[in-house]
Amino acid sequence: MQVIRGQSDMIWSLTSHPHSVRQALAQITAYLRTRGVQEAHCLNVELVLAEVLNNICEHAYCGADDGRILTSISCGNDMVHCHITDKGSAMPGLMPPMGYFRDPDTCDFDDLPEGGFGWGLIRAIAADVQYERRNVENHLFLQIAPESEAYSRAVSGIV
Amino acid sequence: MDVRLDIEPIRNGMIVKVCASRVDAAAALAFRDAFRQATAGTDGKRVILDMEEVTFLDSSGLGTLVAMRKSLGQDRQLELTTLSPLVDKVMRLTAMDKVFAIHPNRDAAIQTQAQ
Repeated sequence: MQVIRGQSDMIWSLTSHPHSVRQALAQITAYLRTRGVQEAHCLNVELVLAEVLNNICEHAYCGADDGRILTSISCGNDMVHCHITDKGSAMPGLMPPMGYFRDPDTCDFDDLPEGGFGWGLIRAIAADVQYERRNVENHLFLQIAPESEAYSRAVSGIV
Repeated sequence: MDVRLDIEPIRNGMIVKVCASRVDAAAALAFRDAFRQATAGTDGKRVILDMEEVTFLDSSGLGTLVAMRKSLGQDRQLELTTLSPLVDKVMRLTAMDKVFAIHPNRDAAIQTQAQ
């Protein structure tokens, strides 16, 4: 894994492997702490990035563990801004999934969901999500607020 | 990625302490395997997962918890205790807090049994 220091942000270059993801997340969270980002905010960023990076590993790179992922992080206006790029498959319909959670009360025991939580969590926590396909690259732009309105809405009930 | 589980038998079941700080995509398979081994051949009604050391849970980890819940069957309970703020948030946001009985701490979990 490489870390490149830019003028206003840091860029982590990692591969589409769970251990590379874990290592990058630890370093990004440590970096945010040094920038004075509050702990709950750091955890929100770490969780959102974990979901995004896991999805890139599983879906964009279809489980191949040598895909390249760049994760750029900057802080400003109380927000943490993330820009994630990969060269894997485009998102279906060229749109990031809306993400929703099934109400477990309406599920049979055997049908309780064992996955599909990722985009619901990203949408619930991130204040803004933008996606672009540029030639062979996916570009995802996220803004994560200390305590986003989306999060407050989501904790008050199932979306 | 190893995940160590410490087992303590209690009346009607066991407390399983998760000795790992992260239950994420890198740990999910090992966690599920370790849990399967810990519960194989047991039939106590209650399996209480002590999550005190777990500070980070992502959707892979959550999916693993649900799979573990299902593996016990409907006649047994998988309960959670001592959730960190982030783990608690993930459970609530996804509404999976409805699937598991959640106790604030180990003592409270054991006392629930005593009632």
